[in-house]
Order: sequence, then C-alpha cells, then structure tokens
Amino acid sequence: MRKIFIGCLVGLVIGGAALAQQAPAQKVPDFTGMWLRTNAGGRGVQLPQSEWSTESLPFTAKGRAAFNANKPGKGPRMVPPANGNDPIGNANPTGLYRALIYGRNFEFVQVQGKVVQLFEWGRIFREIYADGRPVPEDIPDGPYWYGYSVGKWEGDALVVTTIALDNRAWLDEWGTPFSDQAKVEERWRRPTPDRLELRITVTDPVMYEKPWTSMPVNYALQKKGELQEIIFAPMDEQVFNERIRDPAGKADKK
Amino acid sequence: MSQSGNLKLVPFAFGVLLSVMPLFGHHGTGASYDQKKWVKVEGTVTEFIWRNPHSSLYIDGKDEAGKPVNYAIEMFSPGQMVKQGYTRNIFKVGDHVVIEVHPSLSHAASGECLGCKILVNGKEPGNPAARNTER
Repeated sequence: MRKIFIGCLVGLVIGGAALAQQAPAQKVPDFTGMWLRTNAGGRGVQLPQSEWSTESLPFTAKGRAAFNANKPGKGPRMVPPANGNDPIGNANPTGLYRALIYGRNFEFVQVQGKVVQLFEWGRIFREIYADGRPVPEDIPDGPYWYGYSVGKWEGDALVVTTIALDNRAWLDEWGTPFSDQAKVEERWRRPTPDRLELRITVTDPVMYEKPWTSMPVNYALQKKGELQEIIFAPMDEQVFNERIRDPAGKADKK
Repeated sequence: MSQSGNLKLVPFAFGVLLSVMPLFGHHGTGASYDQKKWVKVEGTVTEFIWRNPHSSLYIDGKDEAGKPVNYAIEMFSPGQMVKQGYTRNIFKVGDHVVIEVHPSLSHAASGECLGCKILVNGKEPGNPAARNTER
C-alpha cells in the first residue's frame, strides 16, 4: 500500500512539473475564415512583369533568361496555351505562390502550433509550423511543390519563411520564376476585421540581384459560401486541351 | 437524337471594349479567343461536359459556307455556372441553342463563353436573374 502511495505521489510530482514547464498558450491574431483576393494582377490591372509587384523585378541574367523562357497564358506576355509552357496547362500542381495570388477562395485554419491554409483551387492544403521550431537548413526529401514553411507571430503579423520550393512551379500566373535556392518570407496581417494583407519578400540570388518585396496583396473575408472543388484532373485537361484549347490557340495572335 | 442542325456563325458589331479579363478567366483565354469580337453560334447540342475547371459545349451544324461542323465552346467551371443560375442539366443532346461567343483567334471552330448570352430552345435557361453576363 505504501508503495502504491509513493508511486502516485511521484507520478503527481512528475506530471505537475511537466505541466509547469508548458508555456501558456500564446495569444495570437486570428486569421480564421474564408478569404478571396481583391487586388493584384488580372481584371485590367496594369503591372509590368509580375502579379506580385508594381515594380520591375531585379533579375540576374539567369533570372531574366528564365523569365523570358516562361510562356504564360495570362498577363502582359500571354500566348495561346498551345504555344506556351505553363506547367499547370497539363494539370501539374500550381505550387504555393500561384495558389496564394490566384483569385479563388482559401481558408485559414489555426490550431495550437500550426496554421493551415485550405485552397479550393487545386483542392490542396498547406501547413505552416508555428510551434517555435527554427527554419531548417534543408529538407532532405525536398523540394516540394508547396515548400516547407515555418511561421512565427510578431505582434499583429504572422511571418512565414518557406524553403525547399520546387522551382518547376512559377511564382504567379504570369511566369515569374524562382530557383531551388529561393527563400520566401510571407508577412500576413489583418488590418481590419474584413481584410487580410499579404506581402512576400523573395530572396533568391540565382534569379534576382537583391531581395524584392511584393506590393500588399489584399483578401476580403467571405462571410457566405463554401470552398469549392476546383481540381484539374489530368484526364480532363488532356481532353479539353485536345478538343478546345489547343485548336483555339494554335496560331499566334495576328 | 439529331446530330444535324443549323449552325450559323454571325459576326456582329462589338460596342464594348473588353480590356478587363473575367475574374475567373481561364488560362490562355485572352490569348486564344478574340476578346473584341462576338459571334452568334446557332445549332444542335451534341455534347455537354460539366466539369472542372472548365465546362464545354459542342454544337453540330453548318458553317458560313454550308459545310457541316462541330463547334466547341469553352465555358465556366460548374461552381461559377451555378452562381450564374445554370445547372448541370441546362443542355441536353438535341437541344437547339443560340449562344454568343468570343471566337477563336486561330479561326478554329471554337469559341469562349464565360458569362455570355445563351438561349436553349428559345428560352434563357436556369435563373437569368442570377447572371451578370458580359452581353
């Protein structure tokens, strides 16, 4: 009996010590909800090169060559898809930053130590680890189409660093490139209850002579509706391309 | 099921500058179809595919020279079409349709209808009040 009592006491002490060592939950901004982009490229907005920037980008020679080699189906350099090389034209993944800049609903979900974004475009999700872990030097099994993201809360902002990005994706719909050395920082804020703001800073010495920061991209809170399923199934895209898109765009603009 | 019909391609005057891309413009839409021109297509439905990210409609008929042709039309995703008051049942094989499209820049027998005017058997299908058509 005495042994049982001592065992319980030890268990209580150890358990209490473990509880005492747990940091209290950090009170962080609340970004939960469904959001839809309200500005950036498209809808007649005039931007020089990238949907992310009102400025010309500081390309290296290699970066400019990569930019010129990308033939998008949208934006100021658009070509008919039959003459282009947009990776999503054949139903490849959009990659993270195209999902963020595209005008489709996405949802923020926050749980202890993690933020999750659910995108209806492609029906994909993205995890941001916000549990205090450092940004790793490398992801051995990377790269990933959606990168590896670590976040931290700074005042009213969620600051996210993403590495291990698969550079077959583009940064936007207009063919803005990045290399396998790219590190991208996102800074998310909620200036008003109904608006979310994102700026990204791209650090990629292979493609850009210096880091560059995007314009603020805004998202409006969607108080009605649900995430839709917008999947590009390869079997559907192939048929669509063969029957409609490729014939329609076979010739260059006259 | 009739596979034949009259497909008339009727270009008509275009009065509104369409420099603004649709909110959910598909990839290559602006580069593949003449956004400054409208063509009225009339014929008989042979197939309607209700599928993400773009639905598509096929119409049998004849071109301006009287030659039989199957015309392909790129349409919105199902979700966007529902928001515009359409359903998956708006077209049935054999229906007679009149539809105004942006024609292909390559002069292929295809066009784009993202928010255009549609008549099925002489009537606007679905819930027209939900629509914000370009025309």
